[in-house]
Amino acid sequence: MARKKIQTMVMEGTLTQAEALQALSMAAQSATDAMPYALLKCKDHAEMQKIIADRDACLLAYTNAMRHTLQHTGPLFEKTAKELTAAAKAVNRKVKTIKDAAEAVELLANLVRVAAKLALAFV
Amino acid sequence: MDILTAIAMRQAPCATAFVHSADPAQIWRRGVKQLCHPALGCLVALALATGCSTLSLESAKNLAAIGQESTALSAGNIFVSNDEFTRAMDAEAFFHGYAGTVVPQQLEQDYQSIQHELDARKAVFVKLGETYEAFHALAVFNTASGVASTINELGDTVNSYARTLNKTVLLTAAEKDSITRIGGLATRRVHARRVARSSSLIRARLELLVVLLEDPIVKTQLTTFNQNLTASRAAAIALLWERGLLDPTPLITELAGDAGLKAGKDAAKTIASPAGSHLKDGLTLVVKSRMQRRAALIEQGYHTSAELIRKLIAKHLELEDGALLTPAELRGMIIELQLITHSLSPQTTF
Repeated sequence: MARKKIQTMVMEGTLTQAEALQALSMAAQSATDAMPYALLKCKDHAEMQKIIADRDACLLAYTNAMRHTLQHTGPLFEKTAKELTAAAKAVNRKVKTIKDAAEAVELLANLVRVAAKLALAFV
Repeated sequence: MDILTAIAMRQAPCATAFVHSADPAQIWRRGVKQLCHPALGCLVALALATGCSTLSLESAKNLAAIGQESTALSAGNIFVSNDEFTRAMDAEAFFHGYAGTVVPQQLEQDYQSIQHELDARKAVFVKLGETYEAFHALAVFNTASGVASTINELGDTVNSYARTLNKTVLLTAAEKDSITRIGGLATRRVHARRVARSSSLIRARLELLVVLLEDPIVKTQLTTFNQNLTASRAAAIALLWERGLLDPTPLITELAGDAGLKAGKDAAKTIASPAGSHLKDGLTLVVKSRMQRRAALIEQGYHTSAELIRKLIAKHLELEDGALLTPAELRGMIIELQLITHSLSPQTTF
């Protein structure tokens, strides 16, 4: 059976479902890897809970995609997946330099936004 | 040996020189004439039908044993064990509790259902292990009924796996009775033919299984799930380490092991002191590197497991062709996967 591929309107080439799932997994792993170091910078539970909630959202985007049959995706799929990969790399870079709680809380915000966008592509 | 040579050998079995020097056309004419003789005709027919009698039953026994071991090793590398899953869930509970919250119900449900779904696919490997056990019994005791039923059941589980992926490539109708039907007067020959037939049926199932395992979505599902659970456990370790709750002395002892030295009694205290911050940074990097290597090994273990199935397919072909398969040669196939499995075990440091 031919691999399911998604033709995009915004970029050349195709993205397989496996590659999309891989991108979501990488985002979830990056968020989990960064989480303990972000938590250590927090002053109270409220800040920690914001970080944990963002990390959980990244993970849920991945687990949700895993559960589904991965059959249909939208035209912006590939672009979003690339955006997600870049966001995950940015988290890995930033976690080494976070100075305070405010930066820690914001660390995963962009990653979770992009992960949620890509997760919506899985029906 | 081609048919002309075979006929020639039957005409003059002790005169190979004649075989190589005679005119082939002449030999052919003589051969055809000889084949018309009922007794010789039977002999030639017998010779053609007994190709399987060259199959080594000892090799089949060796292949069955290594097949069982390979199956267990591959399943251990491809699927998340219940222990690994439970430790990851404990890690999730720990850092959610640390932040004053609980693991979201949706996340728990997703994790449980994914683990359940992937674990169900392990049935293929369980059945493959049983098949090799029955194949071993066939090779040793000539018990055909056991292997026939397990091969059919293996075919059913592989087909079932293929259906979950909407694969159109399915095994053909069950080969029920095709092994037990094999009969005849010469016990050794019947035994060899049953083993050869069983080997080819197992091979066909392995060929479909490896196609499924090498499907990118299957590989991604199985490896990423394992990697995310590993990441959860690593995050809990990182948090405990950074909060100074883990004893660094075993790590220091391992680093000094080559020189036969071990951590001093005040080592942990020194590292915890302000003067020990650089030492802690160094050890932190070691901890991180170890966890990263572990994550990388998951993908390597998966790839090696699929490769091992391919090697088993090749060995089945060799067996059917009459090759001798020694335990040492077969054992060489599984060494790499054994090393990865060892490296991924919780107690191993690397």
